Amino acid sequence: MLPLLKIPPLFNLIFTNIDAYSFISVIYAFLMLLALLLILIGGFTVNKKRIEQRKGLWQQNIAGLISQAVFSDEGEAVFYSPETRHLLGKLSFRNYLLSELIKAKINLSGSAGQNLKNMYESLKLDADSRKKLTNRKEHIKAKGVQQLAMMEQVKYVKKIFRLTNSTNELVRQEAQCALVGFYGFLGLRFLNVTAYPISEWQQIQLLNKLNNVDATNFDPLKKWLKSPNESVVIFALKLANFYNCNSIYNDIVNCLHSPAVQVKLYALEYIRKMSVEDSADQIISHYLVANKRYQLAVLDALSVIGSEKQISFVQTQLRNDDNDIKSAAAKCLSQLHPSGTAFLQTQFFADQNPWKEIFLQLKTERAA
Amino acid sequence: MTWHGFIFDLFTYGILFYSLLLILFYFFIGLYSIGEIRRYLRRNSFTDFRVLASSEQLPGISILAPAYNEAANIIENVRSMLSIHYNTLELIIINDGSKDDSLQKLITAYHLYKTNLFINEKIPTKKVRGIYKSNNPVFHKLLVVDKENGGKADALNVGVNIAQHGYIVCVDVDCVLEQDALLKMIKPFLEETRVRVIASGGVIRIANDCKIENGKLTEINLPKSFIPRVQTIEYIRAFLLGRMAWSRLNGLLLISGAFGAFDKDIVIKCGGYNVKTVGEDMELIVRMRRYMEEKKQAYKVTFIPDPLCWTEAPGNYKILGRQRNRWTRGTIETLGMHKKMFFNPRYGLLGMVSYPYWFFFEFLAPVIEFVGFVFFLIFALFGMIHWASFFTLLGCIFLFGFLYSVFAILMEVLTYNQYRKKDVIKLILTAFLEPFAFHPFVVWSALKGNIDYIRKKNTWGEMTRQGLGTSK
Repeated sequence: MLPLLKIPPLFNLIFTNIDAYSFISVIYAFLMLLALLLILIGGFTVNKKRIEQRKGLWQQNIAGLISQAVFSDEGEAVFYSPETRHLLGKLSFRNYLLSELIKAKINLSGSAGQNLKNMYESLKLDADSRKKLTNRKEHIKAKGVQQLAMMEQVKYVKKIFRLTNSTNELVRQEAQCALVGFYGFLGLRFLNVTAYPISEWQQIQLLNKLNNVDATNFDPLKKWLKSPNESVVIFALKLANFYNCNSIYNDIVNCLHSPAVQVKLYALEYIRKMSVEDSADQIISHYLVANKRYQLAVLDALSVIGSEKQISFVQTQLRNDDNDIKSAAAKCLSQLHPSGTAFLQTQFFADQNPWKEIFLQLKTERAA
Repeated sequence: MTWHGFIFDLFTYGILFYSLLLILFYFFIGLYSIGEIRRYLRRNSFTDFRVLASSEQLPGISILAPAYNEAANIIENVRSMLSIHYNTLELIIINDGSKDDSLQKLITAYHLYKTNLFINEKIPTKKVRGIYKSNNPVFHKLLVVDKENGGKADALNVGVNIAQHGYIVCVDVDCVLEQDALLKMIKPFLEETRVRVIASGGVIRIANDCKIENGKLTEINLPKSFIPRVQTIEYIRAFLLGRMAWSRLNGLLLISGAFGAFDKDIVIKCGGYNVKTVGEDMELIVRMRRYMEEKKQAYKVTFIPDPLCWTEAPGNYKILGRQRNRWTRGTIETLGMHKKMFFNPRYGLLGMVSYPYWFFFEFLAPVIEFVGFVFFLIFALFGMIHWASFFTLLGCIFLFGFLYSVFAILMEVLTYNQYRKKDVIKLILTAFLEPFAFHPFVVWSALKGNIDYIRKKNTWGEMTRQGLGTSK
């Protein structure tokens, strides 16, 4: 002990008054927690192996059932062995069978797909999926919707439609995908009532589901373009573009007046693709009051839909303060002017940077 | 109370309070991350990324990969990145004035030709010497930039200036990415409807001794040597627990420079990567967050727990020491540059929680740990505390560290479960050895980092790698 130092109270309390027994108690508590974690790791590993082994045993059974169903003729019943009948009473087996059926269904269409659907219904697996819709856990609810959608259970559409406005995003998204899966473009009717924003990711998923799905009546688009929900307007614009829908051209031109930049940009993308005679003038009319992103998009669109009529306007943009605008304007001019990039070289500032570099890039690109 | 009594009191109270707070934070982080990981796994189980990979509706992404003296593996690394599943992709390799023949190798392998490209220098950088594109349409996504050497941050800034797309993904050129890595990284940006996602990070995993064929990871193995194996645990702890918890709080201050996705617009508005720090990855995130706070715009920095990026960890103490030294200097520099936010309520959670946490428990932790250990050892030597108490206290600290590592291993087993059963046992044993054979060295390297910072040493430190390849 240092003779000159007086030991302060807390220090004293911890290191002299409290004996090792107290510390050992703390260590003991830690060791208990550690043992618990180690048991959990071991338990999980063993349990996982057990589940895998069990699935391995079931797999043969299930593969037999699925192949029987796939290759059966219309009206032919699938034979269930006593062992399978026994297993069908177990929830874990039914869940596994359901997931395997869905995996098979994704890759099969036509009569084989129909046979799998019949099997799903005959084993009353649809009731299992439907039951999930009332589960309190949202991810299970969403799983139920997904299963019903995969197995084309249109009879549950009312229940699923209600879920398109669910407060839970996951459930909502699965329900929306399910409706599009059932009815294609017509399934998008949830857009009339949806109270929540549709994320960009969900829009991509929905459009992906609409690949190779035809649509004829685009009247609902007009309503969606006026929706107070901005994401619905954007999605409607994407749909119009996706379906090359020219019957609502004027409604989309009106979207150029929207205060929302995203709406204006998607409207512009549509106009770029579905242009009419005066499209170029229409998009230019909004140019000066718009932000840089929109201006760049206009110049890009003009290079596709513009004509010699717009050359003088675009030429003014070559002297814009912003280099990105200069570059976009030069690119546009090289497309619009009959002389192409040679016209750019006639500008009195063509030898000065940054124009010199911009023009050189365009010249190289043209040559390539 | 005497002066030395006051100092003792301050020291003991201080250490006790600090330790308790740190342990509480670790408990909180461990438990809080569970919910976020579970939520993520549940959500993503509904998405078929394979189907979406070819979608034309996905936004464009520019991958920026700076390369310095990477000639040994650059051809394979670029091939690996070109094979990533994503429709609208641009791969920009920035040769940061390599002294080896990296550029020539790229030119030959990918049939590159020099082209003219106007670079709108929104972020000032060192001079670009040339830009190369491929004659072969198969490599149309590839753009190679040759520039004067200016460091990783400068090379990334060149990439930001050139990138055509609105989202940029910055990667280390020697990393191996999973095929669906970009899809998973872009998802958080697109699924958020209420706030703007400005950056997203992904988990980095250790690839030492893993099997890699044609630039793709084909077999996951636990590193055979001790140092990379401990880092495997470290990375699981940091990424699966720490970053997930901070992401849930929206208080994440660091996205690894090896793999991160950013909203290009915000990066440019913030002025790009800072070339004056060796911790450019952390500094950028802090600056982006600060910018959003000052502009009063709602934002989020997200993190995803999927193991998407595999990298080679330092295999010996020499390289490891340099890496940790640099990380420490990077942290100090970043915290110094943004000291205005320290307990500043104007910056909300960022100023009141994230920044102070990093200051006290990331920057100061090794210093306090070292000082605390030395003092308690002296107390024990002078008989001021019983040796039994000293060792029991040490035992408590050791056990807590071990407990936390085992918890991280449990989370790995419960979620991605990438290692075999015998490897999990090896991981647990490695976690047991970590406090004796690894942690003291890391603390020592951090202390050296502090000293080097005071001495104004700002070199990156050579990071020699053995190269990833086929496992024996």
